[in-house]
Amino acid sequence: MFTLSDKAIDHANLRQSLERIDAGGFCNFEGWVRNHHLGRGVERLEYQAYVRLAVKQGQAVLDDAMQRYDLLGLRAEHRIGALIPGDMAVWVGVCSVHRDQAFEACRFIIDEIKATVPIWKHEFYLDGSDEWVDPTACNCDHRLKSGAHSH
Amino acid sequence: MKTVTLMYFAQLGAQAGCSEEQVETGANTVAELFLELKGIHGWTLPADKVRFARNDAFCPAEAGFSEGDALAIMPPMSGG
Repeated sequence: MFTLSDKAIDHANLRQSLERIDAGGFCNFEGWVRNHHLGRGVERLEYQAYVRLAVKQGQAVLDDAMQRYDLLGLRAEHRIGALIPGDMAVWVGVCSVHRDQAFEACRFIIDEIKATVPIWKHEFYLDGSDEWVDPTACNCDHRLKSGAHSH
Repeated sequence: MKTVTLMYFAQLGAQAGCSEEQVETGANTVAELFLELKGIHGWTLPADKVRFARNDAFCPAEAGFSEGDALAIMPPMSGG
């Protein structure tokens, strides 16, 4: 199940919902709000979503992952509203019989959420400026080139 | 001419000064409608970076629309 939340993500509850005795592994990704972006200090941010389509598309990403990988369970939740550095922005968790499928599915899900779910990040910087983040502005495909930098 | 409800998100809403409006248009596709509105709202994003939805479902740029439809014009997603 994919959900949006305007309150702090209850990651312990999400994790608990995936516990099962036939699973041999659980893999989890948490996206956190950084206090910097491309050299600028971040004071706070706001996530805006097209809620009806975001919930539908987020669920489609999870359904796709269920088809592609051999999983026993999966959940994802994304924050909307106002956040500050240190807050959790997104949570993804999957469980499977063996670890490989869990690792791969977790990566697939977060990459697809970032690229296809209609949610937008509005960053407010310490210097008083603000900007809607555009991950395409640098012309790189973050689903293929991880690690160089991120948005 | 058709009247549709438009939703704008993120920088498109900020530049337009509103997140939703009703417009009467003679455009045949959502891409044509975007180009019609681009100059009016001062949108700086090129058409090839915009995504569209019709009645809460993604649709291609060449999709048509009907009287009363709710259309969304969206910049690149930046969640996560």
